[in-house]
Amino acid sequence: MNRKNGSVARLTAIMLVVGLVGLSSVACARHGSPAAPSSAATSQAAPAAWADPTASTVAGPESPSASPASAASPQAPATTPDPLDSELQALDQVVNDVNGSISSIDPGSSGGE
Amino acid sequence: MKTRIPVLISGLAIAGALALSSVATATATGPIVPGGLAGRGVCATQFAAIKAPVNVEALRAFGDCEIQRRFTTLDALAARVSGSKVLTSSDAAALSGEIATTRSGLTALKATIDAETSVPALKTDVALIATRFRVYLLVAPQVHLVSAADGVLASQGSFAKVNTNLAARIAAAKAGGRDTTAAQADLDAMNAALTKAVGLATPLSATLLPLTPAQYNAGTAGPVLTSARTALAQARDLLKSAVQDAKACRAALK
Repeated sequence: MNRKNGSVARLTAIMLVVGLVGLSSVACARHGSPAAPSSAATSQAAPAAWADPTASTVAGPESPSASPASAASPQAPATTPDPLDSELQALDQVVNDVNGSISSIDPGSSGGE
Repeated sequence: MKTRIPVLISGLAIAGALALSSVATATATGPIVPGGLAGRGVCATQFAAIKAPVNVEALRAFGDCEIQRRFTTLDALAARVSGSKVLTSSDAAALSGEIATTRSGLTALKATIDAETSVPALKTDVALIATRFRVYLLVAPQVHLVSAADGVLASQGSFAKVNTNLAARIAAAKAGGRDTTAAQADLDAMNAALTKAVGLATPLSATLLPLTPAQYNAGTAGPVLTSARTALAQARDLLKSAVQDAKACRAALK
């Protein structure tokens, strides 16, 4: 009789342990544990990345310099290049080209003539 | 001692590789060789040969080499003209025509040199390579100076865009109650410098393009080339100043 009671108690203890392990694994899966990835975890991450498209276009999603404030700032479109920048660069290039043409002539050389 | 030898060899190999790479870099970014892309030294061997008791073969080889050197230079000049974004179509046509005429003249002279059989006649022919065509003293400077002059004139388009942009910003700042005196002064200085530069460059093509090797030999073309170079250096400095004025104007509006 004592032996029968002992085996029932052992069986109950084993079932209790198995139940606890099952519950804990389900809980881990719901919280996105890396040990137990699930489709639920990835589907929750995606909308977070789509939430602020300016964050990825202005500074990149993983840029360390991108602060949350600047990413969410309504002034983000102000980073559009100023046309005057390219116009001034074109002027610098014009001067360089003229200088290059003048420098191509070495007044001290006759080229053997 | 045994271990030092491989170290020394590897050290020499690295030094050699560095030396080779620096030579390659210098070649790639170095200035244009004044004597043409092939350089004056390209005919040094043939030149040394005609210093000894001269013969027909040595003179012919020297002449052919000097003509080939000029062909190389003319090819580079033709490529520069055809690839230019600033030369006017009429100036480009005039320069291309001059380059083609020079090339055909040198081709004919080469045929004469190759058929010549006497040393005195060859000496006369070889001297003509320089004096009849003046590739390095006239043709090349004409291409470069006319390119520079047309570049100054073409810059007006770029400056006009900047002028429009800055004038609009000054007007907006003034409408907003800001003091735009300094910005307006910078913009006026930019336009004044550009006007002076254009004034210096405008007459140059017309004076440079008609110059001939005969005029160079007579001593009348050289001063025109020198004067044009001086004027273009002044025009370039004025353009630099105008660019700085544009940047100062922008800074004054910030």
